[in-house]
Amino acid sequence: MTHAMTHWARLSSARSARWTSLALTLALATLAGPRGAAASGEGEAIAVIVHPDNPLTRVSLTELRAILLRQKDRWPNGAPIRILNWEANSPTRVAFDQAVLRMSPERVAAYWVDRRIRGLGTPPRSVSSAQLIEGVVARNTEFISYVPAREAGPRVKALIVGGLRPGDPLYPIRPTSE
Amino acid sequence: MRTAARLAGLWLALAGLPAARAQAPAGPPASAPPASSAVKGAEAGTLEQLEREVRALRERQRADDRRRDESEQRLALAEETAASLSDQLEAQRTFAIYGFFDVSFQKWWVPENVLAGDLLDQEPSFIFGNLNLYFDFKPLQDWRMLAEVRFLLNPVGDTRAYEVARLGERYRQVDVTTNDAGSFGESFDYGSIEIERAWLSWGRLEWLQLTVGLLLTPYGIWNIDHGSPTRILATAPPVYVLQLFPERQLGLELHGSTFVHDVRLEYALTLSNGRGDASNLKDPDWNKALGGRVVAGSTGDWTWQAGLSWYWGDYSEIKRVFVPPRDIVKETTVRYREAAVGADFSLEVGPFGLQTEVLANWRKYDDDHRPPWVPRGSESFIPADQDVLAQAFPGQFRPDLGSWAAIAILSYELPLRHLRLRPFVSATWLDIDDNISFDNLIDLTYGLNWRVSGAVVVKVAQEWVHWPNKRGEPILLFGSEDVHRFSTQIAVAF
Repeated sequence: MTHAMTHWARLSSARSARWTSLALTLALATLAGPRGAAASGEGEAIAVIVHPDNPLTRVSLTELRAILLRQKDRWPNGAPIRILNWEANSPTRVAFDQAVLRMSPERVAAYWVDRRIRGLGTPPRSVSSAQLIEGVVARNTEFISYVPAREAGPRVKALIVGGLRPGDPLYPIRPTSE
Repeated sequence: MRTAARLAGLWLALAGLPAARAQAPAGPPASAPPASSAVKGAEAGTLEQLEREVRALRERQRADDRRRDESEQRLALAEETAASLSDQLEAQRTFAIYGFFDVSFQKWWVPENVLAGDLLDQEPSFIFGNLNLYFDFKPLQDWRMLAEVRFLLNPVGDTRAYEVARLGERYRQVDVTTNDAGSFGESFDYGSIEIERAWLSWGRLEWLQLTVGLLLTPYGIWNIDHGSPTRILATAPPVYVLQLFPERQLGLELHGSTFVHDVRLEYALTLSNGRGDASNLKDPDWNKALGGRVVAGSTGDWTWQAGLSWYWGDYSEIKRVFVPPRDIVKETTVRYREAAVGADFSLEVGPFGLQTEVLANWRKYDDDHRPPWVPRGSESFIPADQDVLAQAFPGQFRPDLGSWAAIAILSYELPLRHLRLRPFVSATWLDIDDNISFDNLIDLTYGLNWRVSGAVVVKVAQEWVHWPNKRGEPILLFGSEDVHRFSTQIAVAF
């Protein structure tokens, strides 16, 4: 009886430790803090996300570039396209700009300055948290943004880009190994 | 919860063990064997170990609870922030102030034996260029208002200490010295403000939007790039100084954009009072000016843009004459009709950049309202009766004018990591068929741009200007001597 209880207590302790460890891992993985580094994993896909009710399901890289550069600023129904960007120089932003806009961080910064001086408006709002981005996109059908693919939860819809889903090995929006 | 339940069960089990053991001697069963000291020692050791494990588990549970609480709080905060941000962005009522600033240092080298030598100061000097502020307001969804003002050190007219106006212009000196209300005996000179543009735009459709107000004329590259941080050259090349298109107009613009496959098409149609400061106040004639622009372009590995622009309008100067006994007659003093066309092309491929622009303007005066001849290359808008140089050459009138100009700027970004150095060279050709100040102009500029960041640009340039004299006649303003200029500029967007 004593041995059985000791064994149970040890087993329970070990299980509890594993559970605690798992809980901690899950908690850390879902923390609301900055998670830009999440996209810095080599080759990890970046999903382009919209509200599930947004009728758009697929987009070409050219269209996506036009949207993100604010050269195209209306959805087909006439509603404004609202972009939520990552903070400049965050790994997700740098990887996305390189893959979609074909621009370095310096060129992107210059692009938005030039556009402002030409009177074409201000750059999109930037935030530094996938949680925040997902939360905003999940609340508004007019928003478009992007997050590391594994951060795209069920509250948002990941677009098919160039005919490929983020899980596809050939999906085009990934960090380059520069 | 499961951990807590397990802990509770374990604790109850442990708590029950010594109690049971303590009760055992009170009622020993007849068949129970006597407990040995070795067994008692082993039980005590096991008990202590279990108690330690329980304490450790309790500690872990507390830490786990703390972390879970923190995590939940942060998640809740993130959700709350997302909701708040979403509401803010959805409201779309935004007001932003931004702008740009530049300061330059210049040195001219001009031969003394030409008239221009007296106009272009050869002393090296710092130049206060632009301090422009933008007020960008979105009062409602689909509406946007933009005002841009430029703050100048120049007072209204010219400074008292430095009485240089453009050739032929009459000085309009104004004493702008005023007392500083905040301190006794101290005074300052106030500068003036120029409204660069101010308009209100509405559009729910991407392909059709309407803008009304004071607009920068949509033509070419230079006029659209507009600000020193965006432009490659530190100083305006002669192509733009001539204003073959008016720089800005007061009126309305219908514009929009669409995509044809991967090519973006933009178009604009303008209706305005026309060229000139007077037209920016109130149109002095019945004829409105029309203009337009069509642009095609693409952004990507090859970023290119090709544009065509045109402008057609009348220019008038009027004065009011009192006719006794009680009549006032509006009399036209100058009037011409003009047409301008322009084509531009820009290309960026990797580190290479190319900007080209060709502009042409034809101007035909009404014979009844042809102004006196003025030895000036560019059109200025001095009322004829105030034009001192025109009065110095009586009996001669301005000819009809046909001018064209072209500029090409080639640049290359050096392959330096995180150091955006871009050497450039530009070439300008100008042909003004006015037979007055000069016939042709060639301007070659080479220099280096350093885009320190997106917002900060440093420019250094050396310019050489040459006037080929195709008629072989002496040219009043510049003769046939070359002019050189060194300029450096720092421009900041904020």
